[in-house]
Amino acid sequence: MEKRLGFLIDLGRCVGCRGCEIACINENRLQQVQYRRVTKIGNETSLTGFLSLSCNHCVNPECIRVCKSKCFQKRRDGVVLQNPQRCDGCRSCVGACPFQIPKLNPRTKKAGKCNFCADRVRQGLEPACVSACVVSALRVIDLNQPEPDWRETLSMFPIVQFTQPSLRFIPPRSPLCSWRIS
Amino acid sequence: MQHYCTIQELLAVVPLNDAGIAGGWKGRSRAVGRVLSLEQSLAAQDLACTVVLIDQATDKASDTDIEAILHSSAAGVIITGQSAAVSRQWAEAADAAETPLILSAGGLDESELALRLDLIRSIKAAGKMTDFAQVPSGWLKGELQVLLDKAGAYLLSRMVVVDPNFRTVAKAGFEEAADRDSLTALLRAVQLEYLERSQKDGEFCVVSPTAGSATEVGCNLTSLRRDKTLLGFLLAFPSGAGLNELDKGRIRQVALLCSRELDTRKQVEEVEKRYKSHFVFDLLYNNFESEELLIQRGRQLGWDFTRPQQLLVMEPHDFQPAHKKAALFEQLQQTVSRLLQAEFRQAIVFEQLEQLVVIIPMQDGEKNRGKLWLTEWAQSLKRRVEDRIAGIGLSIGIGRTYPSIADLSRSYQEAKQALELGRYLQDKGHITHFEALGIMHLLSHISLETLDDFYKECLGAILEYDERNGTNFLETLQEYFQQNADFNLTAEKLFMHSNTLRNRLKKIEELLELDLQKLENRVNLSVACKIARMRQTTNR
Repeated sequence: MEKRLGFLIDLGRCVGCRGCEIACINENRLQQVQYRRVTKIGNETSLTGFLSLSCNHCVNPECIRVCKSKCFQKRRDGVVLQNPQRCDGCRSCVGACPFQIPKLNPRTKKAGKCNFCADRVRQGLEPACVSACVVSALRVIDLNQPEPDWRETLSMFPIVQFTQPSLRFIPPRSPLCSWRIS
Repeated sequence: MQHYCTIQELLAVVPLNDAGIAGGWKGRSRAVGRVLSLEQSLAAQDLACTVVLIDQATDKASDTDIEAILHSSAAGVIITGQSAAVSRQWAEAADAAETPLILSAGGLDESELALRLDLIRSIKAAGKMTDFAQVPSGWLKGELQVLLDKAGAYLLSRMVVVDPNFRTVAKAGFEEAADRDSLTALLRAVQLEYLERSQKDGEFCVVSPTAGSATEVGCNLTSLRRDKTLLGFLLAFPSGAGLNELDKGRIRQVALLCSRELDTRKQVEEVEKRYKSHFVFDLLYNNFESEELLIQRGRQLGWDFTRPQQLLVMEPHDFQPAHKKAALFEQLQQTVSRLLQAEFRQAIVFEQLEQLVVIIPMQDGEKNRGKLWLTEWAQSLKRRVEDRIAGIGLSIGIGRTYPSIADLSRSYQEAKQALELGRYLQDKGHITHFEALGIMHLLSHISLETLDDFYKECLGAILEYDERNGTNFLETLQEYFQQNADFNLTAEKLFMHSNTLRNRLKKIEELLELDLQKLENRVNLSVACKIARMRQTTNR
């Protein structure tokens, strides 16, 4: 069976170092725009973790639906690619994506997003963000071979069944405290 | 030990199993006790139980001699030689006399044939005739139709190979127009009998309607399998005397060959289907560089994409058990394809991610085939499919129509969204056009937390009241908006009097401290009710 690629985020491991953000910026030579962003989960008084998010390469991509220039396409391995050469800067995709992923590059005036480092993957490498993650919180997975501890959604997400993001989470675990007397 | 064997038994083993039958095969059950040469047979007074062996290279047989032998009591005539051949006159004489006339390319003399006779008699005495019987090597290489023609001629039977649903794959012996017309009814009768017999192979009789009357027809049914997969059935309808043990053994051998042929065909079909499936995926997800390339690739597969296409997505629900999903989708795809073949020159039906995608072309002069037409047509299709497949319920999402095939990917995403979001607007089994989604489309872009906050804010008082008092005011309000604020319809749906409904709505207004007649309040509450329904459906 052909692979269906996606990202796995282990919320228990991510320490918010933003290495994935920097790696993505370097790989795509971005200026003034980011394709991957690390956000805090929780609030000021109770921080529960960090979430690294880029394009979710959804099963039902809204960007494909709204783009009149047909910039977006979905490969058989699940990766949603964007062709900036076709983009006319209409920003339909920017508004349509429920995760606000496509970003308008202020310099080129065209939309852009994570392409799963298609060139690196073609050479047998992992995406730059995954390679840069020192704690292995961010991984590439095959969604056709699910694991029981993966979760499909978080409460802060929109109703995911409509776009079905190719994204899975491992929820944070309670830390072991061997020195406490229970 | 028996002293005789039949001509059929003689031809069942090497080397005569590869012999050709020129005519007179109806006499195949004639007993054979001895072998004589042409000269000996012409001198003999009685040729009963005798097979006459003629070597075409050395014996000069005249037409008169051959016809005399054929019309005598001889069991059969075997003509041997590299270029063994018979004239049409001899073949017709053999058919008329029902004396088998056999052609054997291999050299064979009397003593060898006599030894063969002894061998066959021994095998027969040991009851191992069917074990030693061999299929002619010429049957092993032929296509299914050729195999069936040869088997039919050998078994003196009409033969049909059908698929697991008893649809004809190949047939032999149904050349007459009347036979072809009655074949469908005959197959239906066989199918019913097979089901009544708990789906077991074997021989039975069925009543076949022919012109003006019904006749009883014998049938031998053998299922064709590869491992445990049922590929179809081999049906033999013998004429005359019926089938003997050797015939049944031959049918089993032919069934194995037919299974191999059907399996090969199935594998080829699967490769073709996979290729088409990849193309359809690329079509639905905009994986083509240009529209021209897309049209060209489609043309290679026999599809015309120069016209606008309309797309809908069907999803079955509530089917049990889950492990039969693959078989259900196969059946669904075949059923829909058959139904659409009658209506459209080109209809593409493919399974994609546990949903059935249907793509139909706009015909010439059909500019007005809009949302309403599509929804009604989808309704009709749903009804026809549900009639044909028991226990299935379908929901359908319909995308917008675009003039260019390159935009079909957008139509596909719209249809899927209509399918997903439509269930929050209507119950299961809904048919929803993308343009009918309205505010649901906006709500799908908002986070769950925000949605929960909004509807609890608007409807909190009712939710609390319902929980404390066991009432269903929320349901009442939801139905009220679902029925477009029509009192009578709402009361009917809720099985209450309209005055009761009026009182309830008044109570709701008191609890929410709102006037339901104000448009803004209605809009907010309607949206809140939609969200509540959405969250209830999601959490179920």
